[in-house]
Amino acid sequence: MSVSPSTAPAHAHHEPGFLGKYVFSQDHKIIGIQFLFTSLIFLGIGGILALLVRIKLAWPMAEIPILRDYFPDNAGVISDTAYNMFFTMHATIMIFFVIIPFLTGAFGNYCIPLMIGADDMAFPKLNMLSYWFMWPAIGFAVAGFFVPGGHAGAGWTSYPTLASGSLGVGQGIESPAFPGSGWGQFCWLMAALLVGVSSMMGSVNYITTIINMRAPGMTLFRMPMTIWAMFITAILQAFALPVLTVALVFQLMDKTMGSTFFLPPSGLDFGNYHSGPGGGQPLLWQHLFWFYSHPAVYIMILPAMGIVSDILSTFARRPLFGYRAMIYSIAGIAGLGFIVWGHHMFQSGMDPRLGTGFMVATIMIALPSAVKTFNWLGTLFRGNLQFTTPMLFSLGFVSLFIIGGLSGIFMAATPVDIKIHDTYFIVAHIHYVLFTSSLFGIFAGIYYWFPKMFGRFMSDKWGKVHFFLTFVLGNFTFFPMHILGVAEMRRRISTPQGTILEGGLQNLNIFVSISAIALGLVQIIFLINFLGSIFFGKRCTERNPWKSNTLEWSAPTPPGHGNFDIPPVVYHGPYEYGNFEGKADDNLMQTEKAVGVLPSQTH
Amino acid sequence: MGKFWSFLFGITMVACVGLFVAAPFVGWWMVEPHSLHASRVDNLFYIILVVTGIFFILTEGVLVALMWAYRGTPDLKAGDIHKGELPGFIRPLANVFNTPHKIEIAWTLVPAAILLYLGMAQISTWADIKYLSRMEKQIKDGESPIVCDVSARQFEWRVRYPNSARLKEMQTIKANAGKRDWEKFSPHYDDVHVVNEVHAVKNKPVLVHLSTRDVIHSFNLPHMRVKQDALPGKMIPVWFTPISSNVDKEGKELPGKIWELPCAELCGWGHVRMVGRLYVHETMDDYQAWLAGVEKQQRNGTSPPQAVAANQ
Repeated sequence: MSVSPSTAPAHAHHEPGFLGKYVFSQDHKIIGIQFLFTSLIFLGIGGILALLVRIKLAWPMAEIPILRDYFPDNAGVISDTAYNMFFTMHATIMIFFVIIPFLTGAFGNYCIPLMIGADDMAFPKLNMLSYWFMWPAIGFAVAGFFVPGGHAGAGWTSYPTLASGSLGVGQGIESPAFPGSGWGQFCWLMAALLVGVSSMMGSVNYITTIINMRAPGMTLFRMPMTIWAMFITAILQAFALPVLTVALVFQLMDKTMGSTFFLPPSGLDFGNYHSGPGGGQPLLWQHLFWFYSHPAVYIMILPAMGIVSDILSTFARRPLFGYRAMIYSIAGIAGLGFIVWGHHMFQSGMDPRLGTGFMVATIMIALPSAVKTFNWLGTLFRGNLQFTTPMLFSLGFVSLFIIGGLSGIFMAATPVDIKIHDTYFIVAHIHYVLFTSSLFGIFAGIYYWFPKMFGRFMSDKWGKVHFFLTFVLGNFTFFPMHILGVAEMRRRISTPQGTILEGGLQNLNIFVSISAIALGLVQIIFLINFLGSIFFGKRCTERNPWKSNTLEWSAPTPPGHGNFDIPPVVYHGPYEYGNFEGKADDNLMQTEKAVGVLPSQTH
Repeated sequence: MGKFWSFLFGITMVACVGLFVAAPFVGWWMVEPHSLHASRVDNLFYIILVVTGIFFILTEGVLVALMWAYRGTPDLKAGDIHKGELPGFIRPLANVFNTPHKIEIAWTLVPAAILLYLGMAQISTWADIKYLSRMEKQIKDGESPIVCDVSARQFEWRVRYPNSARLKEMQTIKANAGKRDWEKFSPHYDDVHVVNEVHAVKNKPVLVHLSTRDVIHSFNLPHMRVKQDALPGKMIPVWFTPISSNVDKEGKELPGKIWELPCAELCGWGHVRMVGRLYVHETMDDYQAWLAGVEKQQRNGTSPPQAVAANQ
């Protein structure tokens, strides 16, 4: 006779063995930590690729001893083909294997059940599957470096026909367009496809969990911003990912089965090779790809915004300013995010009249971002700012997101985009949004939830050193790129001396590269702090070390299987910081009953 | 420590503004505009630069001031709240946070109006540069543009011009006659072929029929503020009017006036080296002299020297 699992209490399960507990775990916390470690490893790989890109740009003819084995014909000089492969895979890895898994995989998994007071995800097995689908993706992403022709090198956007150009059925998968567009591109497509499947499973799980499994009293408008952001992000993924999947399958079929989704009727000429007639449109890919990848930009920033909102409020000891406005802004960004994809295509040959519509929508998307920024500033007003490491990274996020947000207006404006499209201005913008914003949010989240995850603190002193150097060197690395772009340095060029104008920028490029290398080395401080603190960090025995309000801090540290020993009941929103009569602390956890007027109602 | 961090944030933002102010003076800035629409693009750039610059200074200033004023003590006690105070001059500004509803409405509507203005300000310039229907605005009565056919391929620009006889014929087509026959320029057996060179005449519109044989390339003339992707399977018209010349009577570039045509869209391993040149002649006669020269060489069976030069 079997007991229905739903009636058996969570704690009554027999203790799983090591494999079941840490490897094939269905516990959302372990899965979150698995995502965390996987993303950290890939952060390292993606970072090394970025440094190779920067080395090539500053010293195009440098012979790199370690690369001698990889490029024997070249004495270790990075070839143009290899350079294309490096920047392509840098972006691919950072987007699909670092930022998205960090934010939705690691923090989404770890935080959602804990912050809404659930004992696990709605579908624990699906959750496990979502993590394990990362591994075939990782397999393809890594294998691509070792296939004939090298890895994909057509940019992370993989525009046809450079990426899709192929010899046709029966003539092998090699591409006449670019060495990496054969087997390498095949690996890239498979990797992106499988990551998409993984994200999709996660997103279904998050939506269901947040809708169905909130603790008693946890109404939608009592959810912390992290959860709101994760919720809306999951919806974005659920709606946008199928389109990317379709596009990837199209290109895969073009590559392997001789279909012609992206091959124009006139066909293509590569030297003496003619592809034969097609029936498709290269522009179709750009539409499909950006229909996913523009919302993906918000997938990569909204969770970080949520995390930062929670951390700012906690360490400012103030209620979050404009809680509802913040939620509406996130929803506004997500909604508008679906009608702005064309701003990547102003110069692409798309009808310019469409560009006008996309421009107005894109410029208006700056509005919810601006509202969010003002709300963060308002949160600090009359606060009692605690400059802990997570707080510093959150303040850094606000400060540098402003730069990334404002520079976006330039490229949204269609005529100005003529000038800066495909220049380093774009590179500067994307890195201010993804490095100094998303990654700062990720760092803030790691420092913030580390005690809950591992029962120990990360070193605050070394955390501050890490922040200081990352903040300074991050600006040194990325801010001059705006200038490089305005001065006409094209992006995706393997040497900054292709044109006369670019040749004049060599010194600035060397400065940027040196800063980038230093920025890369500084992350070793973080790595040592992170790994060392897991084993030797200061123990954290209290449940609520930051005196925060959200539910995860009412669980034991670290939370056991099933999360909560006392089933949480929620009485109010998550941002009640202030004076409470008869209470020594200035915070009121969501599980504590309120006495008198709540601070969020008085400010 | 709070003072230190506020100071760090402050100094970083000052440095960022400083770099943007200093860059033009050390030559790290955009090249001079040389086409009819280029200064309009630049003006829009500067408008956005000023508006975003003001917002940047305002928001970062408030952030640093708030960090400075409300830096807290590490040991938390109830009652520590509201201990900090902003410096006097900024207090009126920050007091807006005291009236949440009013200020939320204000900081939604004001940026919305500014952003809407910025969006609307772009539309006419964009339309003039890219809408096919507006092209004729750049063409005076009784004139037709210089037409050429640019076919991009890995990793060069192949350009075809109508020869002298056809050029003369096309010049007689009036733009305002409703018959825009120069739009229908198609490759002809007696065309003049050059590689990696686009030739134009000062104050005369150029109409480029842009296409590509293999992958996406981008026709990018920084000095003209022109950028347009070439799309396989599609012919895309591009036009601009140069307003200054960069070559002498013999067609040689003047010192310091090399105007390049680098490909802006990743097109393969040789992308960085896919660079052509733009030659703007002072008068139509100079242009015709150049055209006749190339034509003669082509007819006599010697390859044009420009093609050799471009492959160096």
